[in-house]
Amino acid sequence: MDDLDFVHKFVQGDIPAREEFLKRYSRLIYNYIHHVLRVKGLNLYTENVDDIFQSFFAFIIEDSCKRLRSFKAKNGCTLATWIRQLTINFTRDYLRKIKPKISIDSETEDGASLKDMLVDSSLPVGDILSMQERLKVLDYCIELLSNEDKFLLELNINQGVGLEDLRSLLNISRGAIDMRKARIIDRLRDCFKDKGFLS
Amino acid sequence: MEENLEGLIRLAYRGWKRRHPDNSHLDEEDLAAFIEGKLSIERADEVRQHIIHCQECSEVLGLSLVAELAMENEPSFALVDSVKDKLGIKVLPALEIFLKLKDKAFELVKASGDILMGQELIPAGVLRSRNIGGFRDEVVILKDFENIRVRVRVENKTNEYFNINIEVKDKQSKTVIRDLRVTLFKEGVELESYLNDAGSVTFEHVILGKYRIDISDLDKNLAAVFIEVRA
Repeated sequence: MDDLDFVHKFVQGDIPAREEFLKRYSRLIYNYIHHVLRVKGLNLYTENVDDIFQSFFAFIIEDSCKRLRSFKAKNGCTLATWIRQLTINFTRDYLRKIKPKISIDSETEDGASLKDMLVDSSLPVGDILSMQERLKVLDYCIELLSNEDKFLLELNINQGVGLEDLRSLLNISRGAIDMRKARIIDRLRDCFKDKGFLS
Repeated sequence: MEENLEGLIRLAYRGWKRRHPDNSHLDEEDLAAFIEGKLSIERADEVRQHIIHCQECSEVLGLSLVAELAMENEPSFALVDSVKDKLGIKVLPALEIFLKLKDKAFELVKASGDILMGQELIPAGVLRSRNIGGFRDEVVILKDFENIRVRVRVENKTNEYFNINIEVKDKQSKTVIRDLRVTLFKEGVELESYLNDAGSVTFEHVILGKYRIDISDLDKNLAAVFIEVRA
């Protein structure tokens, strides 16, 4: 039985299909909820995780399983990966609802957050103008990068995804990823130097 | 300097990204197919382009990219049962037991039945309030279901293994029922299954972990025992 038939049976209320769904995916869903909380740096109680888990199932079956019915296996994607994406989105939405309104993560107009500033305390402090100038130059250098390079920067530097975790997505060896990242940094460094920064 | 530069790049990149926003979003199927490498080259390029500009989708993608997510957490039986109920799946009445094996003795963490102490049956909660929680050689727990009474004896063999003995009696007559099947599962996989024609069934040398035991007659499941023993 393929994923679409399986989902169809679930939606029709087929009890063995629903039992099978729980057997196949409850552990995956539960662990991805934990994963999102961990990455977000939240140490919630088991009750919160359990609440998200229960709410997730309520969500996929509400309105006659509307959300589950939206699965069409488009481009051949598997149900397991789709469920994973759905779980991540659902958990983020849940956290957004319970998150305090003001956060250390909220960004300034320049896109830099207070957390970034604190993390980067090794940068010259007290010379905000100089830093803004550096950022402006780097911004220009980033613009010159190819989309592929920006994509790597996005995931590794902006989202903090480990290089090892990027292997299967980029479909290249770990060595090649390391090399690609080093080249990007080199390009940015060279560009930065050309503009009179760094010695 | 290298760390400073990477920090500076991160700041600059975030500023750059904010000035080039894309407020549309990918649906889960697009992202799932992208992760699985099933999109056409053109569409994959479009997705990459979108990810660069969209903070939301990029974050979701980032959260998905774990080479090997340790599936170390497991929803409790009670939690799964509550979801089963939502899904319209009939929940089998169950006895839940959670023990810790510490210093060659069992510590009773949780049980939804009554614990046999000498000749007295004491609910787990009452036991806890009396600060009784340690059992040297065995723990015996009983629970009444619709028509049957199940007695579970968990015996401490070593710090790594334990035995589980199951006895089922008719609730009214208190006579042992002999034509039942008792089956031990771990993570949904059947490990052992016996007819209790000798009056009780024993699973020996069970390693520490989480198990389910189904008790059934010829027609249907009558009860389940969820047992977890950790070090």
